[in-house]
This record gives sequence, structure tokens and C-alpha cells, in this order.
Amino acid sequence: MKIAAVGPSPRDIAVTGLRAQRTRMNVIANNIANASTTRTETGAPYRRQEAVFRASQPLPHADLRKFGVHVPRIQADLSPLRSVYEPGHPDADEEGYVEYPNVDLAVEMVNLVSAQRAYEANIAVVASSGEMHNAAMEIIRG
Amino acid sequence: MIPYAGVDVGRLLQEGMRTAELNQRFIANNIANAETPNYNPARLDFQATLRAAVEGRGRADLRTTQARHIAAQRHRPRFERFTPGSRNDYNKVDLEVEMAELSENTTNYTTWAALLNKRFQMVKNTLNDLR
Repeated sequence: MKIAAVGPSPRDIAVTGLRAQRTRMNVIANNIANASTTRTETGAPYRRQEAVFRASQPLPHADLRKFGVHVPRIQADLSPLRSVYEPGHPDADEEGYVEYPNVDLAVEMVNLVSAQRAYEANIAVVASSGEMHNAAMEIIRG
Repeated sequence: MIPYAGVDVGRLLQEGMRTAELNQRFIANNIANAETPNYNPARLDFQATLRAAVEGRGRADLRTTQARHIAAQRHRPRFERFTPGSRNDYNKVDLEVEMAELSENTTNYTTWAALLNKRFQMVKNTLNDLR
């Protein structure tokens, strides 16, 4: 019996999803860790980062060789920073304002839960593909 | 209506497993892209693909007689696109639906594999009786 079609197996496809969600979780963790970083290497305050997801092929997703998802880039969130009046802060400007990162912990937590849920769904694909594999192996064992 | 009357059962089970494997890729793709903006889930029209495969329509009428021949693609996937409630990222994957599809597909595959296994055992038993 020939292999049905070329291209990534269900497991390979799920792994692209796992990898993408893992990247997203790393970016979220980085955002949370830097929620109060008022000065980065460039001298500017930290800006929230976001992992950009893209399907590995455009609509209608018909090419079996190109199933999966990938993260082409990690993008900075250009929404305005938070200005807080803290005259004693070493990074305060002349008027006493400190620019804090545009990280909202509530948003990060929601995204983290969502990434985790999606990660688990991909794990379920890996598990069920393993189950299918075992069923096929049973035939060989006889 | 009996959809596959007169069809070799072993062949049906084989093609069923093969189509389920293909279907699993579509489901895996939808789940992998559950958080991809603008993604619209694609679904394999399982019955149509299986029917085409069993009736031999899913492939060009080319046979491979040597191992190095490249087999024509057997499956002509058809798409069934659905658009449930929209989110602000225009992703239309419903994770619960995909999980249900995944579960159903896995069950189908394992059932057919078990039936095929039984079929081979029947042949084996018959051969043993002849000895």
C-alpha cells in the first residue's frame, strides 16, 4: 500500500502548530518579564512584541505539500507607551514623566491562556495520529 | 441506498484508511492555524473523496509497473468551507468543531484498521483449515 500523498504527515503539521504556539508563549513571557522595563539597550523603553502567525499557504489551502503554520516575524506593538509621573525616577524626562512599556498584563494573560489552549489542541492531534499509527501496526502484527 | 454495493470490502477498508489519513492532515492544518489571522478552515469532503477512490476516479488512469514510477495523485480533495461566528482577527476556525472532527476521524480509522485486521485473520484461519 503506497503512502497516500506527499507532504507533511498530520504529526508534522501539528508540530508546526506546537512550534508557533511555543514561540508565541515565549514572546508573551518576554512581554510580562519586561512590563516595567523603562530602558532597553537602545535607550528607549521596552515595546510590547507580538508573534505574527501565517498559514504556510494562501487560500484555499489546497496544496498537501504546504500544510501548517509558521511565524514569519515578531513585530513590535506601536501603540502609545504609558506616561507616568515619577520625578524621582532615573529615566524621568525634564517634566518628571517616565515612559513605561505598552504592556497590559491582562491582555498578556488572556493571550497566554489562548496559546496554551491551542498548544494542547495540537498535542491532541499528535496523540490521535499516534493512535492511528498503532491501529495500522496491529494489521502488520496480525 | 447501499452506497458501496458490489465493492470489494478489503479495498473499501484500505481506501477508507487512506482517506482518513488525508482527512487527518486537513484537520491538523485547521488546528495548527487556529490562531492565524484571516484563516478559513478547509475540510476534505470525505464521502466524495472515498467514493472517488473506491471507484477509481480519484486518479488518472495510469498504473505504476515499476517501483521508480511516480504514482499519479489518487485523491482529488474537495473543499467544504464553513464560516461560523467571526472573531476580530477574521479567523474562522472553531476549535471545538475541529476536536470533534479529530476524534471522529481517529475512531473511523482505528475501526477500519481493526476490520481489515479481522479480514486478514479470516483468510489466515481458512488457510489453516486447509492444511
